Amino acid sequence: MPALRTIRTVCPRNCYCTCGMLVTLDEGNRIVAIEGDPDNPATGGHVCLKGLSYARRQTYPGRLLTPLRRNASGSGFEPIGWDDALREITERLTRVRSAHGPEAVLYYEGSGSHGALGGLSMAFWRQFGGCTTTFGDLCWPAGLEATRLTYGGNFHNDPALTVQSRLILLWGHNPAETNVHQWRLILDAQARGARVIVIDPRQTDSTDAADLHLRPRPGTDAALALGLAREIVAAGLEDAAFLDAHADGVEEYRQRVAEFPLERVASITGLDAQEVRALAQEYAGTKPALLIAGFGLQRHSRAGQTMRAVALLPALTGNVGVAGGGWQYANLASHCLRPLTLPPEQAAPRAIPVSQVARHLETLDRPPIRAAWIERGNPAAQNPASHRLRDALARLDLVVVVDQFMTPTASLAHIVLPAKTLFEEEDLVTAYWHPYLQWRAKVLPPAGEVRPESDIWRALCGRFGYDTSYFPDDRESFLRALLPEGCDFTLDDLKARPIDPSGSGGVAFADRRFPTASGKVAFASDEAAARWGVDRVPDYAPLGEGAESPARGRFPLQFLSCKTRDRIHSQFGNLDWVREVERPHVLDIHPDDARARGIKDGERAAVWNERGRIELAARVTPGIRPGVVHVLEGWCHGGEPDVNALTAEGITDMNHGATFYECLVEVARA
Amino acid sequence: MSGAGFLLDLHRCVGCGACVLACRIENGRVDTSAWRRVLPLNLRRHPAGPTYFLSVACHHCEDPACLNGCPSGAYEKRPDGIVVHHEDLCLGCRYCEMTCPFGAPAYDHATGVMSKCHLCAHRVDAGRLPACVAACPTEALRCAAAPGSEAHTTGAAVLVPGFADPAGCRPGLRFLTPKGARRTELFRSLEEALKR
Amino acid sequence: MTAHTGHWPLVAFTSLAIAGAGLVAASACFELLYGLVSGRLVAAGAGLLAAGLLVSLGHLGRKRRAGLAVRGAGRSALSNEALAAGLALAAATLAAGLDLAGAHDRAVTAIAAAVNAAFLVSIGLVYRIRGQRTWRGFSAVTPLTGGLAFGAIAVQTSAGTGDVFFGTVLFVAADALIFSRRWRDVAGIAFTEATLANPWSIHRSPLLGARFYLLDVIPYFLLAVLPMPLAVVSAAAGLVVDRFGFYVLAVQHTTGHEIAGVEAQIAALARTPQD
Repeated sequence: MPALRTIRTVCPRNCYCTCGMLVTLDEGNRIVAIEGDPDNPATGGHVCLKGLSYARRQTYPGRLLTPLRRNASGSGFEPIGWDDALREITERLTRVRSAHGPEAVLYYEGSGSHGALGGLSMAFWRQFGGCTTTFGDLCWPAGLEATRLTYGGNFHNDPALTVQSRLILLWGHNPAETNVHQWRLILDAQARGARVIVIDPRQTDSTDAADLHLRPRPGTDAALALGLAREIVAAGLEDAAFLDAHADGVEEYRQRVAEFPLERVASITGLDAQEVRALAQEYAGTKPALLIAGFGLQRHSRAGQTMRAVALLPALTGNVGVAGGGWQYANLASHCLRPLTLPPEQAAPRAIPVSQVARHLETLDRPPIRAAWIERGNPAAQNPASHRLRDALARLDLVVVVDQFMTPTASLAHIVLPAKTLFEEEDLVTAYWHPYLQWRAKVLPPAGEVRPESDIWRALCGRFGYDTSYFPDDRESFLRALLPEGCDFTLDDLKARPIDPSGSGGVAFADRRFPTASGKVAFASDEAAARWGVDRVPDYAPLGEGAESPARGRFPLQFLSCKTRDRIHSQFGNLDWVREVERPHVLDIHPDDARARGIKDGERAAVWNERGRIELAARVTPGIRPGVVHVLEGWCHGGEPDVNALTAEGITDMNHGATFYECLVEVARA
Repeated sequence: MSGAGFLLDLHRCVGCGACVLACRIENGRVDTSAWRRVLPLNLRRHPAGPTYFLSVACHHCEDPACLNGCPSGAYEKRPDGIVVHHEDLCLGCRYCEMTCPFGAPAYDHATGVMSKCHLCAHRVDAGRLPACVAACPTEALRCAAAPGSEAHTTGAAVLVPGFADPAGCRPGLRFLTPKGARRTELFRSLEEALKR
Repeated sequence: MTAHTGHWPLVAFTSLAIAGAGLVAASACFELLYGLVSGRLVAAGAGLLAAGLLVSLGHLGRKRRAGLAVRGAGRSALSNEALAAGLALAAATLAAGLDLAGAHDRAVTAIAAAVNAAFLVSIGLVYRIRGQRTWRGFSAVTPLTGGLAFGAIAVQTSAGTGDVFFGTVLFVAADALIFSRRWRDVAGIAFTEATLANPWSIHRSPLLGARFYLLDVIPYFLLAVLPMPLAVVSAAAGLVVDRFGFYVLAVQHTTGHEIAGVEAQIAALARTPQD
């Protein structure tokens, strides 16, 4: 009888789905099957192609299995032992700290791997005397804050309730690529007669299947949302009862939306006035209606105010706290774990905005950054102004990178430490779409000489003579202690199946109690104004680098760099199995724009602005708006990483996010 | 009709390739060619036609070109319709590679014999779905041979724009045509245009 | 099947086999018609055929299982060809042996002619695959006509007379006629993105033309002047180009081609994209 064993675990990537997974191993510890965990009600019995590709990724040629040190000539790396690696790191960190102080070291952690144990790095750094960290987030923080200001917290309905929707409005969201389980549920709803409407400047796999697709200019969504609200109010379609009982600041809001008549909205967005009116009537007139906003909607400097404008539409139409309805952006219901016990923090820790790492590496002083530790991230490819960031890293005295593969960031390191995979250390994993807390099992022993980061930190603490009691002796009991106080489940329960710790049931805000200051939905917010200096009510302002900016004289095209399902950012893109099925990496350009520049389909094109220049093949397609061009982000395995040579180190109007989609370029034949 | 084959819902398939990877894992095809492919139609999104994806492997044809042409009789059509290839009878002449118009039989230089999708007959015999079908995250890919699965629905199309039967093999692949207001219209008008 | 699926052994095998069987059949015919008994020619043909069959093993992934190839006789065109090849070689060897031993036998010669001609027909039938546009129709007959033309040219040359036998004219003219139909069929296939993906398809006219001139035109005119080995060399080169072109110009209508065709139709249906 073959000795196959199946282990339940979870995928810890920065991804909505956070799929429950069943991994089957044979007696030689080879992965023979990867399937979805049917006991996760949201992800059901499926994972995506990336989850399946773990079978290849786990043992992929090129996976780093030993520490590496840059060789003397600087042209490559040589394998070294852990002793040597840690000794050298210790010496060099000590030297940097002596010369410049502990904050001369930048500790950068990305979103590459989620789990509670990730926080243990601070057990080292705080004993080190501190370091410079980052604050903010490259991805979603403006929308999180906008939702928090509006509804009091980031919670939404259980995804399973999608099938009860009669209208699903996807705004700046492409779930057919970025949330395949949500997409399946949307298709199920559509099969039962729900209308699917997508607002996106591009045609995508999601718009292909939609019943209606609106294509506004990028960055004009606030005007569209306020215009829709005006139409809804003018038609008397708002939910007056809900507003009376559960909303605050509605009068101020009405005055604002009155400033957005159809003609103005049409002129700003480039949409047809009648289609805006039709959408308003359809959205407000169909119950229950679900509005799902993607993170792409807020990757620019007016992010927070835009998200507030859009987020209020479900409240305006009484679609909050109902099954099949809602405002859906992120769901933090599973974020209930107790914080790690860590050494006390320094008095005034220094932190830099994560969307401006290059600039700060270049200009920080007292002390300057002289060393960097980078783990679970690939900032040299993925962060704005990536090539300046690469140059700045190359000038440091010490760069340590922890990764599974030789990424563009790792290739800049002095020392590379081999990173674990999801199968090689247990942890607790939360999610941000479904409400389930999940146990990530230790499926396999770490390959080669790989050590999980928590062991690396422990070893480093040992080298420095620090207290190592912060680190787990036994991870299970350590993690068990992180379960929320008074929760009604045990770790063993959690190992048996995913658990929703919120106890809120499926419908968010079903009780219409909103954790805002007033206890009501905030159509106007003092806190927004006080905290972020924005208008009390949502407003529209043109992007600094957008459809209405003077820079368009030189750089007339808006540049988007959206996500593909073939990767999670820059992960998975190196695997042969993925490259076999991946979408082509091209510059999408409209026929009008291509013709004006003499660019034919398939020809090499140059894309540039004052920040940088890239070249790649053009795909002439009517699927993109005229005036907008697009390249998928996360590509860095076939040559130089590209899109972030062009993006700016901007910051969102609230909560310190990045502005990847606020970018103007010009294009020409290469 | 009875018989083996896949049912592909063109509305639900997003061309992700999970089916391709699942097949690789199940059948141990780690660094050889895959038995399944995903072919996009109109990925450029030209407005005169729909955009959809064809996930294709072996179609377990009623009149299989591979079986008819094989000199050594290495192919067999089971009573349940699955066309299987017996490696021990294969001389690696690659004739089936020529006769099959769908590119199903794959030659492996390392072993010197052919191989192809067998509808995961080993799983089907154990009452399970083929690996690709089980893996499809949008439940676009289904199969007719597995017990308990949907039989080919009466609404299913045999041929769609992009999929023909140039050699008269009568493939077992069936399609559910696209839904959604936009794609239905584009699909319909494309079918009309192609008939002319 | 792509044009490049391990085709070199097949080019070599079919060139040698067609040349060999064509030589045997043509020699046998000329023996019967004109009394030109040449055991050496028949033996040369048998030798070429044998060499071809040996080379064909090089194409197999499992050479030791070659014997399985005849199991499908009656159902599989390839099995039939394998069987016919064996019979053709046997008949040719017998006929050559009798000739060389001075015991020429008309019946055996006739059988050798028939069986080797049948083998040439069976080669064409192997490739008469539904969906393979470039191998059907007249293309299925060209192994027979090409082989006979080559054989006739070889016999004519070796006969060493200044007169051209009517048989030579007949076989070469028949091949020219049949092959020109193949040429027209192949050249008539519209260029699409899919066909252009095959780098040889742009060169199809030179390839087909070269075969035509090398096998049908040049040898004929050379022989009309005086018999010379160059004619055989030209004809042999023509056969190799014929076989090479046969494989590299293959256009099987795959699903990928079907999709490409539909996409071309979509582009042709262009409306102004709304915006």
